[in-house]
Amino acid sequence: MKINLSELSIAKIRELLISGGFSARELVEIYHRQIKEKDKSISAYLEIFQDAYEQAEELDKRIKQGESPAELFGVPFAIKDNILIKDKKAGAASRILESYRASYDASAIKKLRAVGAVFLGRTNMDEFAMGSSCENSAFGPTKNPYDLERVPGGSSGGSAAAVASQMCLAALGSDTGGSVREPAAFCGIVGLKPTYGAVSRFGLIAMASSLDQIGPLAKNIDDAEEIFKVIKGRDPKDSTSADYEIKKCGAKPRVGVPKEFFSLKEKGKEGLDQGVAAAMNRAIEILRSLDCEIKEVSLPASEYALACYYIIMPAEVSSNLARYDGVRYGRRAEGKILEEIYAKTREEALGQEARRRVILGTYALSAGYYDAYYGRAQKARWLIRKDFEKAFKEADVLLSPTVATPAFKLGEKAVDPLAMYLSDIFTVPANLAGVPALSLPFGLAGEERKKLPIGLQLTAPWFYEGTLFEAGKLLEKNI
Amino acid sequence: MDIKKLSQLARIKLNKKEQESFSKDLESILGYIGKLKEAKIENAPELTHILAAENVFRLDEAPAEPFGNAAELLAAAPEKKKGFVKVKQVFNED
Repeated sequence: MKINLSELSIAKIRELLISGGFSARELVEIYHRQIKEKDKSISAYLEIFQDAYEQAEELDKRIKQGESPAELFGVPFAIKDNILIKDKKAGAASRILESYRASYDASAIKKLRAVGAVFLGRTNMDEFAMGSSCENSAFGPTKNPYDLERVPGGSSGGSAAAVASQMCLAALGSDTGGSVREPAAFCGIVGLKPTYGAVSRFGLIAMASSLDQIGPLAKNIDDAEEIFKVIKGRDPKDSTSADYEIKKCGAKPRVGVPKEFFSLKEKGKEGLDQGVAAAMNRAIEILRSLDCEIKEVSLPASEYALACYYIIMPAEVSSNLARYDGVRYGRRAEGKILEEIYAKTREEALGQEARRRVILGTYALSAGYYDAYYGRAQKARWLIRKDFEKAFKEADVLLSPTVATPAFKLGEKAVDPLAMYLSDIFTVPANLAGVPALSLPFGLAGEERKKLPIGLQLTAPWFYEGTLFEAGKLLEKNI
Repeated sequence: MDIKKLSQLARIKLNKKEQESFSKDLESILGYIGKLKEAKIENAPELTHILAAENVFRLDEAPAEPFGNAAELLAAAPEKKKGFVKVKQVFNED
């Protein structure tokens, strides 16, 4: 049977497995072939798991025995290299964890496994999830499938590129300041950052614990929704995980457009790519034609979001990365005394951006600077959350671009850390406030020959992922 | 900003060249972060938990599912001895 990979979805796989159209094993074979053909030029994967065949054969056996397939039976996943899969290497694309093998499953992996997901391999990322382009990987960058001279976005760039080039059906990533949504936008797929606490962080290699969330990357909203429903839920192993029913608003959401990100009057905004502005205007027209109310809202403190983020995040990074000391895991440099081993191991095996952020965080947390930096940032974070509370009194969902531009060129921002940081300007506020946000592909921009995907971002109140899916589908269906 | 001191505190060795380039990068990042000084935060409390945090008690019992097995966790360490993680001496002799 011939399969068109771009038309496959979770529902379609289920249908075919039940009807006997093909087996889970055949599906793994097809994806492995695709990876072999495409990944030489894209470099999305760090490792391909050969035991995916065994996983699939086991599932086929169970179907033959009459078991009715669970939600994600036979669905081939790619997993970001910072999410632990028992007995597999997991290194957050860092040299310091090069030889580390996970001794347990992350809770999200356990949940996927329980409903029959198959793991094809682990994907490339910015080291310790620090970056917006995948160029900070210790193992070389991933390329954007739409244009190999451009970045796939980051930090979950490998996961996004793998989904976009049909090298897996769906993937998991993690989002601390936009690391699921930005690569999803750059690669033309759907990416969800759930409400903080929706998905357990147990088994996710921590970057900034008060911001990190695991989220799905998928080809369409239905698939992302299905995966989210599986991986969410309270976990005793993550004290910040929350227990809730997914909520949603009515059929015709009131859509707020934050004027700080896009002006309804000017139909654009300074610094916004023309193609991105055109996509926004089209989305607004579509929603209006469906009788959704469109209104201007304001998030005044978002002006400070990125500054706030670049204090809180490195502060948490500096303490989370303290465990990579050459004593507990993997790599160690030689030295006479302990302190020398720490300093040398971290010099040799942590990449430049990781070291830069550890040092920045150390500075922000050092004695005498608390009030000026960390304390001030925590207060600004409160203001940012307050803005969202206010905006959600007037609107059910917020619409903005995910990123101001389509994918940039490899190397374009690599020399200037601040320029790289600024690409997260629309995505960071949702992490600071803890609200869920979804990026969905909304057409292509650019010249005929090299058209690049554009992503639009929907943001909903805490626990209202259902609103994101409903509003997202209105756009997805009518684009 | 004393980059040497910071690299000591962070336990990350930096060579001369990197000390310079990091100082430059950090100055520019801190310049941007300085924006926060304009924020009107006088009446804002510090936000420490994004969702309303309540203390969650549990009974003082061993967890139903014990965590991993020690040998496997230990295996990840580069140097060990008799079931312990081995570290180098902490202090210089002189």
